[in-house]
Amino acid sequence: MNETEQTLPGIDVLNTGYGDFELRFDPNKPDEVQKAKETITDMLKRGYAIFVRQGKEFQRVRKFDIEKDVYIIGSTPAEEVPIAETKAIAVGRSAGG
Amino acid sequence: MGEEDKPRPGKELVTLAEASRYVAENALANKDWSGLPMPIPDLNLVLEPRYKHQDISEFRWKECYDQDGVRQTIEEEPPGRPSEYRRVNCWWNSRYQVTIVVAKDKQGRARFYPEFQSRLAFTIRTMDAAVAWPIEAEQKALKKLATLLAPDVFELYQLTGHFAEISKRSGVLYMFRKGRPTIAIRQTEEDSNVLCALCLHPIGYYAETWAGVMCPTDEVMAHLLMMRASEEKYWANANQHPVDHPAAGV
Repeated sequence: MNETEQTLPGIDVLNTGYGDFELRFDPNKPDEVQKAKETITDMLKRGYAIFVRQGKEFQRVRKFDIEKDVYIIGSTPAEEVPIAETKAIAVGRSAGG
Repeated sequence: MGEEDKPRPGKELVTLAEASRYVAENALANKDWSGLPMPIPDLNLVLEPRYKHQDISEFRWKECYDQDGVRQTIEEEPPGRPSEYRRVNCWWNSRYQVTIVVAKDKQGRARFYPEFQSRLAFTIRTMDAAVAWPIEAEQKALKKLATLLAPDVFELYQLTGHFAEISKRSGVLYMFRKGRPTIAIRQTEEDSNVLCALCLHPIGYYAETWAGVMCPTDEVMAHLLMMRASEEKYWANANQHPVDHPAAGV
């Protein structure tokens, strides 16, 4: 994954040093897609909240389907967002202050 | 500043904000996608309980360099004598504007005492915490926030540090504020009822400040996204301060 191309899909991660760290991948490059899948899986495992836009609304990602490359935001197939078609935003675990 | 002009931590003196950026760059190699929280002298770091680098909150700076490059030792206050009393309960008293604390000893004898918190002290400590926020991080967060708001709303945020949005789900109005907790307001045709101030920080925050480990606009973005996409979790995770409590920042 690289931190350059604005038009590519990926994840923007809120980050202490960067503000907003952009992880992008090219859907046509299998190695980049694989790395993106690993990153998404790792983030969800570590408790990151991942948000994706579906239409005009933001939804929180509940799961990630590594076989279909889709974010799952609900229980029906309509509630799936392909990773190659969206720029998600990820936020680390949050504590009440 | 070009890459070659950047100060090199470990070789040159750097500010805490520069160190924060440097640490975040290196943390990516370890899949710490959010960067790492930066300890600040005289402020206590409080981390999300399941955050994996809990030991960072125990870190204490031993020395620093002043603006003239002279090395200074950072003295740490010696810990007070351990009390035989353990804090068991506390609540905010709006009338007297104090927190009443109840403590018990091993024999079960209870005592209570008032705990005073000052808004000015919160403000000053929050300003102290700002040394760890890289300005580039805030500028980048602003650019990102602009993509999430209507242009006039984003302008209002730039001008005042505040904007409001009504939840489509609950009808609650949220007033998002830069560097302060979010105010939740229930509006009816007759009047408005301020529910509370919601305080939430990604990864962690500095105790008795309004400052989180991320720059203020990143925190506003986290609040906004949680509200829009997962309102019930937002309420569950945030601390709910009475709006007249100093921690509410009103």
